[in-house]
Amino acid sequence: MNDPSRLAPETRRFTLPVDPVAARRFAYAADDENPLYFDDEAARLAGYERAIAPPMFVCSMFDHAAGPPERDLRPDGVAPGVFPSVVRPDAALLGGGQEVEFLAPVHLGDTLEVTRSLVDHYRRPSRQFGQLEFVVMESRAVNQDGTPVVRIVDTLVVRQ
Amino acid sequence: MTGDVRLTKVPTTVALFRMSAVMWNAHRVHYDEAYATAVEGHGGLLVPANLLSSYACEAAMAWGGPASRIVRMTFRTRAPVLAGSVLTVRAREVSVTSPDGHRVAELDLGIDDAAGGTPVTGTAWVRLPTAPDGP
Repeated sequence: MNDPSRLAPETRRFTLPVDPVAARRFAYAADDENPLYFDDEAARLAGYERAIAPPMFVCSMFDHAAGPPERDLRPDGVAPGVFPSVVRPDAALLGGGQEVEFLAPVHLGDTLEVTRSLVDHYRRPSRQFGQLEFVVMESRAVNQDGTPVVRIVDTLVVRQ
Repeated sequence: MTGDVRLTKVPTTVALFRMSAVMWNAHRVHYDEAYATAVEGHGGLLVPANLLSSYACEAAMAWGGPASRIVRMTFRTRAPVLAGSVLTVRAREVSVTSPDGHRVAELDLGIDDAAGGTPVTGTAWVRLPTAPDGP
């Protein structure tokens, strides 16, 4: 299954500001009006310093960049730099799953440094779609105090 | 504890647009129905995995209450979910253990569709508050 010889040492690093507006937009988009995301006092009563980001907010941000311009997007609209080079430009992509360890709270206004690496790439047959490829990436996020806050392993299902 | 949690969620096209917008995600399967169906052969617009995992996360947090902490979650998408689907999001206690002095509940998570399928499954581990007035 796993063929490490195919793995390139592909690692990206980016800074992710936990912008309160973006995090709350995420909460509304997810139909989740938990006061922990909107109300500092409610968050303090629950043991946090202040309002927190929805846990899946950080786990959803695979990049934080202004670009690319539309002409540089893949035909399916995906920004090419977000995924490792093993993913061909015309491959169909589906989110396959995620494993997340929440190590410390992420408060609104924090600034995270995220390191994202390709960790596995394998093929497996599917009854519905024929041969599928699985691309596994790991993200580690550290806050402005150097505290690791989240570790994410996510699997992308690729129809090449 | 609070017993099983069941939430009803309908990922609308507006929700898909807003989620894609906040993530600056231009993947056309989430908002361009002609592309999603004619080019990629899906039955409609695809709900992004992170919206589904957010629903599951909300259920786990609702189960544990505000003073609990999710320490670990896993999700697996077993089948595509289309925009407009009526979903039931479930969180159910499997066990409570105290591996390091903290009580940690293991929850079984699932998202069911109206046709009886379970396109998303998962597990959450939730650390429970120690205070006597906790949930």
